[in-house]
Amino acid sequence: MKKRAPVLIANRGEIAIRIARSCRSLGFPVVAVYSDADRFSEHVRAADQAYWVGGAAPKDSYLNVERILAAAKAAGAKYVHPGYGFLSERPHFVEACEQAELVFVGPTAESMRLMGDKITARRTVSELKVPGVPGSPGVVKTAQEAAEIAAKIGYPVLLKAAAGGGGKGMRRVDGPGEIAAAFEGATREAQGAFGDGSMYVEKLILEPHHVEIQVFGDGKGGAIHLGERECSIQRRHQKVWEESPSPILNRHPATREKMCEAAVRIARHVKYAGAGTFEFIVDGKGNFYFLEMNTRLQVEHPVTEWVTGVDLVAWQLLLAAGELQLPAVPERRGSAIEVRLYAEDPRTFLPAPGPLGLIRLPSGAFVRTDSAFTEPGEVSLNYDPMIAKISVWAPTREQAVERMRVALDEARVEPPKKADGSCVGSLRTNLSFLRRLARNAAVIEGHTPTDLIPRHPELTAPEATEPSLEAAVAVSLYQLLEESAPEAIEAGGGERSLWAWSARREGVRS
Amino acid sequence: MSGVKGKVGKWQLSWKTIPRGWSGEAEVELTDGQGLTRSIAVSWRRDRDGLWIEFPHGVQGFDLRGELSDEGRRHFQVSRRESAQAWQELAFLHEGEEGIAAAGAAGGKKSHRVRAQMPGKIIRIVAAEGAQVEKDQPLLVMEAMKMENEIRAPHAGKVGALKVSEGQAVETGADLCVIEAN
Repeated sequence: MKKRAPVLIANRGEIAIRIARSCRSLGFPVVAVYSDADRFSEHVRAADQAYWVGGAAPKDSYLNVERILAAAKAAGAKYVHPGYGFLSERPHFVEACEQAELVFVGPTAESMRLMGDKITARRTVSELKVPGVPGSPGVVKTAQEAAEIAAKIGYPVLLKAAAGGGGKGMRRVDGPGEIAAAFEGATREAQGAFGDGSMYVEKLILEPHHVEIQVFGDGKGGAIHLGERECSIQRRHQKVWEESPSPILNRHPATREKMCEAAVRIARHVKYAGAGTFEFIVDGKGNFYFLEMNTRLQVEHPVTEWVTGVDLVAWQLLLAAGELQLPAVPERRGSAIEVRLYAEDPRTFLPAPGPLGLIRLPSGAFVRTDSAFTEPGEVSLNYDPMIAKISVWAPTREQAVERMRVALDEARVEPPKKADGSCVGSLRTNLSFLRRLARNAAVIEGHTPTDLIPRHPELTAPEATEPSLEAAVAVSLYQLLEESAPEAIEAGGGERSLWAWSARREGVRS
Repeated sequence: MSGVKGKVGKWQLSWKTIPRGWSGEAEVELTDGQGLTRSIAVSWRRDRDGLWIEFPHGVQGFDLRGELSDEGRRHFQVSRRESAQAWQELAFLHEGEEGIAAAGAAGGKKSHRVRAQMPGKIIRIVAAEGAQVEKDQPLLVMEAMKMENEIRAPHAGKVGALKVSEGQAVETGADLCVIEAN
């Protein structure tokens, strides 16, 4: 194996472990950084060296450029991989790395500024004739002006308060007859709520789908795409289910060709280096509009790795080391799905982190799990409450959904419990929600617009209160065991007999 | 040798012997809502998160999480392992207890436990213990996930059993106070 210079991973959690794996297989020694809250975290154990960089709050540690660069220097690192989140899209960090004579694994600060900012990115993209969501170029002052723009871009349109948020000062307009009244109402509402009645007019995208194209550039004007990912199933504007190929593009294959071509054209134009993603909104008829670019590795990159067989992080590292010749567009095979298992309430999707008593992640053929948790552990309040990414591959989408259903049924995450069954801490997970998702008819058929969750209230309905025969037996038995002899099921005694039971089982096996 | 009788949802259960211990076996008679009765033998093994139970038709595992209801009664959130089946608020009501539970739920003074919906920190207590509050009147202000949230009264009543102080960190489900209906 080739001897290479160390890589500092300026991140934590599952992505730090995932990057460390590729580093190790290529012979790059791994340097981790950690905060007060992460002293004994799995990503620290996955590294050859680890440096403390500050307090639990991200701004004190994982966003602390000075300390991270000092750690890189102390460790003799040559490369810095930012992962996703934290410093991954901060051009000033890229520049600081360069000044410290470190190689940043990712795009240049310049292309980050150009493509990472939504407004400049949309300008660049429209110069290349890639469509964005049609709308007014600036603020619209009168209903007359709004009507003219709406006539040009086509109904239905959305009137949006320039200062807006939370749905206030927003109106859907289906035809020219409604626009004057809607404009007046929205302006009045925005004036009242924000003290500013300025409006934007935007085309309303019907049956929207979120589809993104993965690209990889060599930084010299060469770039290829690695197909798409559909991430339409979202809650709180965050993805929970990602897949490739995209069901909506399967119904509009010509759109796929156009989107991939557009993404590669933009990446070549900006001489993009490394892994990047172009996000688009696709309507029910297969029209697509550019939204933004993510100038980093994405959370859902395993989906692309499954269908292409490419290790994206290995490509990033080899490109940074000057050893990567841009390959041909890889062939894509089969169907892959990823879900994000979060510490959150399965109905309200509010974060619910806390101590972790049991975690069993699924396994089996073509099942991948990315996680940084072991038991006993804790999902910390300080960081993103994602517990694991579970991804599967199968020859067809139908089989991939089936495999995902089985994988989710296998997974178990439980808070620590006292002897009487009451929970320690407040951990809850979205596992029950994900299991319903894998059984939902619309999901199975691949009809997944971005508003799938509000359209299907059964996904977030409360659980049943009428038990099956077996559940009735389980509850009465559990409660009676506890009431009859609590001392017999104290944790200590229980553990002992559990060990004895397990020893007996092992004895039988060997 | 004496058994125990009680109810879980629509099921009447009659255990021939009181089950005990980390593992064991027992016989139970079940009657459903239609009055159909069957008798089955089960054996079980407990573990940290619940139970494995061998039924005549196979083995099923259950994770059980104990919780306290607003009336202070214990109940369980139950999920069957390796499946999407889950139930909430299940409890075994001993024979004779059902009447008490029903009376508690139907009549008398109703008090409502106000609990934290998210882990966070109490920033301010707006309504002191003993204060009269209207429905939706703010009780306290909590910081959670970097946002300030007002916790409001679920109904009109008197603030009782204030369990937290300003600056205190709380977990999801922690009791904050009780609103006693007038």
